[in-house]
Amino acid sequence: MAEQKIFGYGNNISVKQGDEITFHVNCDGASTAEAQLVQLIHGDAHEAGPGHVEREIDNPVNGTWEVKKQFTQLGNFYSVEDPSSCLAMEKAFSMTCFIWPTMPKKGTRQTIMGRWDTRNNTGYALGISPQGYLEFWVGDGEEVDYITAEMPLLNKVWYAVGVAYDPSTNTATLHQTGVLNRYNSLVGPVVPYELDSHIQTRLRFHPDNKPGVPFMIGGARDSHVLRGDFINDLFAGKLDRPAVLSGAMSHAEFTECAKGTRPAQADLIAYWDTTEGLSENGVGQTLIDTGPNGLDAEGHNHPVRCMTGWNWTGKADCFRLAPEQYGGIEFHPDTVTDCKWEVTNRMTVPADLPSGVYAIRLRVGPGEGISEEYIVFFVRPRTPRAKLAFLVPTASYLAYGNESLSFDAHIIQPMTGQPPVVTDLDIETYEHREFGLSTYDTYEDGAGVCYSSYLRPVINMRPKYRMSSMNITWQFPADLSIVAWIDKMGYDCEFITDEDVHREGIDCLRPYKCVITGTHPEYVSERMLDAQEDWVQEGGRLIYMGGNGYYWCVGFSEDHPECMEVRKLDSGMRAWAARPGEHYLQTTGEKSGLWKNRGRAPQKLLGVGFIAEGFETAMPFRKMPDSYHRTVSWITEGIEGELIGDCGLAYGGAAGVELDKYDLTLGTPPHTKIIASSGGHSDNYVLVTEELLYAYAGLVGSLDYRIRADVTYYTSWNHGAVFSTGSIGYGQALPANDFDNSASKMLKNVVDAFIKEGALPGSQWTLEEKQWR
Amino acid sequence: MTQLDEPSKDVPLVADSEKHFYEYFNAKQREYVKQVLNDDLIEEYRRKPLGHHSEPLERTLAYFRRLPISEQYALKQSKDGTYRMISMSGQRGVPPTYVSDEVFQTLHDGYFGIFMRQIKDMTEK
Repeated sequence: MAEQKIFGYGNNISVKQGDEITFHVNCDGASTAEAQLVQLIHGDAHEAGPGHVEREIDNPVNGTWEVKKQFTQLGNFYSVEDPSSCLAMEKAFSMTCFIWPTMPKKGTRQTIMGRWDTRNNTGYALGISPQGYLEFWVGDGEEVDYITAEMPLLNKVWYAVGVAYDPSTNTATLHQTGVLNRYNSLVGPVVPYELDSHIQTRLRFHPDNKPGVPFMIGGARDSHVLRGDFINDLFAGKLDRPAVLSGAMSHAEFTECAKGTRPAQADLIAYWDTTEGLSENGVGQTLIDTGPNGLDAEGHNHPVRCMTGWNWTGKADCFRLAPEQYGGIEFHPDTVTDCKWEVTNRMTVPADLPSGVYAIRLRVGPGEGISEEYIVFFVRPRTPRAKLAFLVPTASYLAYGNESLSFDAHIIQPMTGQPPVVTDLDIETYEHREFGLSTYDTYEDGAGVCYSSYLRPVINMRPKYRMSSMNITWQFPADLSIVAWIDKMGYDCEFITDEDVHREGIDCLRPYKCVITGTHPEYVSERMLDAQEDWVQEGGRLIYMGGNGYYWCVGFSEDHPECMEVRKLDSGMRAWAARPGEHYLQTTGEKSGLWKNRGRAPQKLLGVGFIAEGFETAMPFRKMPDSYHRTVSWITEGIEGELIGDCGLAYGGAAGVELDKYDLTLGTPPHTKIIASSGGHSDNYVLVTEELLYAYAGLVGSLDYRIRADVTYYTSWNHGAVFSTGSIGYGQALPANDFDNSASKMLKNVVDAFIKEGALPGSQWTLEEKQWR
Repeated sequence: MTQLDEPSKDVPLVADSEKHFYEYFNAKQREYVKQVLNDDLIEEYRRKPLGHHSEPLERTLAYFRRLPISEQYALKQSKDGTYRMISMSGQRGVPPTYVSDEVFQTLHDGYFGIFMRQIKDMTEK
């Protein structure tokens, strides 16, 4: 019997009572699966905690589901709607484009553009041969004939390429001219490369332009006996301003095109101006045809736009400054932002289902490992009633979705200080790569992944999962330790997500007196930050339970809330670096990178910000002098001794993994008090790169006093306040000793105070004492 | 082994010439690790695989952890909770393979098994 595997996703990550959610499931080796709606309470099997805890919920959706194999279309490409068959070229025609290939010797054919059908060898296309040469090919339904350039295409060098085809003589002329300048390519003009090639040949037959064959940019139609039609021969690299012209252009006319001259409108059949629509607020997925036929092209799996084009001169660092130099669109054959699987089943969220963390649990065969799936979603209340809300950091779940650092990242073992511990699930996902990558991975061509979506299985957003490189829970399953604590303490808590706060702003937060975050809310949009900052000023009380939070600036487009964009740049602990000039978000037009570098260091809202990370040990906190001050002594009330958080599920302590500290120079509110600090961390804990001006020896835990986590507290307007734990490991410390421990006690003191209306404890002291040290 | 003081002049052409220095550097690192390797150092790791270590052990681990991915090891957790050592492929999308039939009952034993395997690899170079 074939190995039984089941994977799925929902069409939404956050739903309200009464909403419908659809489930999309792919299964190998079985035609039915057992489905069960479950409420998720805890997801870490660590022996110091309660283990995996879920509650089965009665619902009509439970039972046997029919499941089947579903296929995923990987890769970026544009499809062109051409109902009048303008591009079924029967007369002489030409095609031109600028290209910047990133894997010219990919070993498989790559399509730049064409109306080509691989399944029956019909049509025409311009592309790159498996050996890395520019090529134009035609097919008559039986055979394929080619014309191939004489000089190979070089990696990350801009070229103008084109072909002219005249059916009257059956002559094809191929042009390739390097347009490398001092800035736009990997190497500079000093390298004595031969870039140009111009060649002409007589083809053996005419292309057969059958009806119904789609014109594609960056791919071509293919077919598989089980899968049916799909897009293959995907291009890797950047394209700029592809065009189709009537008539066979001369060498002189191609030379004009290679200078960037737009052909006369009368000569154009299509001119996809890749700079059209670039605006202050970014650009969408539609590629505008500014030619006479309006043959707009639709992007698939988020081709990356707002990238430097063939004519980038290095002066403008943003597409908003010189859009004409930002016609580059980057294509990756191994990306996916929407699996587009058929609906397997659907559920209306019961009106009386309490707000919480839920999943459809699916099992086939043995029902464990890769034969068990949890499709996780969060249920919001139709009408908020609770004082306390958990803000689920879904943007950060996306950022880490399906990361594969253990297998591909050379730095991971020095970084984590331990060998990875992997499971069948990790190996399955890594080997098949059908579900896309995380923003911690790179594409096959080495470019960083800047888009991540939940319209695909996200295998590490499930209970029981441990991040293999660190052998602890991470993000969603780690946050379940906070969920379990809330459950254990008996708080009435409702759940909202990053997506909700991004969409609704402060209105999403206003019903609540206290909002508690996840363990690692690292990725935030401007709207998410604005909402929380405004809400705290209105009197909201925020508990930041994380380390390395509110760090990266991310964007979402209005029409794709499921897909997050980030560009990693300049400084910060980052898995890749965006290329020069490509630092601004396609989805919003904002500069991405660290919020710190945009004047909004996390310290300004949270009191603390990222300072160090390490992954093999953790430490407790120690009470600091401020904790005894009469304005804040209530926070540590009932905690005997000096230590707080000396046990836990993440390396045995509350201060660990990623650490944040207080820093007045980065905007920590001046009246903030340091309640407790960690310290004595191992040398695997290293200073974050954004704190570095000069690197010098000894920026490690045992030698640098800055490497610690601070627990901080400050008050704001209207009885608002912010309490921060400054450590990822704090959340995982809560379940230790059946939730009876000092970290749990301190958090309970804070939550109990924060959910009460009116003045906060300690606020009866004088204005001077409250505000200034 | 490469002559450290006089690198061979009969060098092959490689796609990335930095590889020559990388190999030279690693040979120097190996030379150091072989000098400090003894039963005490192995025992230090066995007692405490994670956290603060003596400088010789820290440098030994730094050498092992910076080797090419294809020369690195990890643990595969089995359904019964035991562990087996796997070798990373170093090739994108190519899964790791089991190194041997040896089964480790605890994570601690698995870490130590990897450490001993890395010592074996190094001493055979």
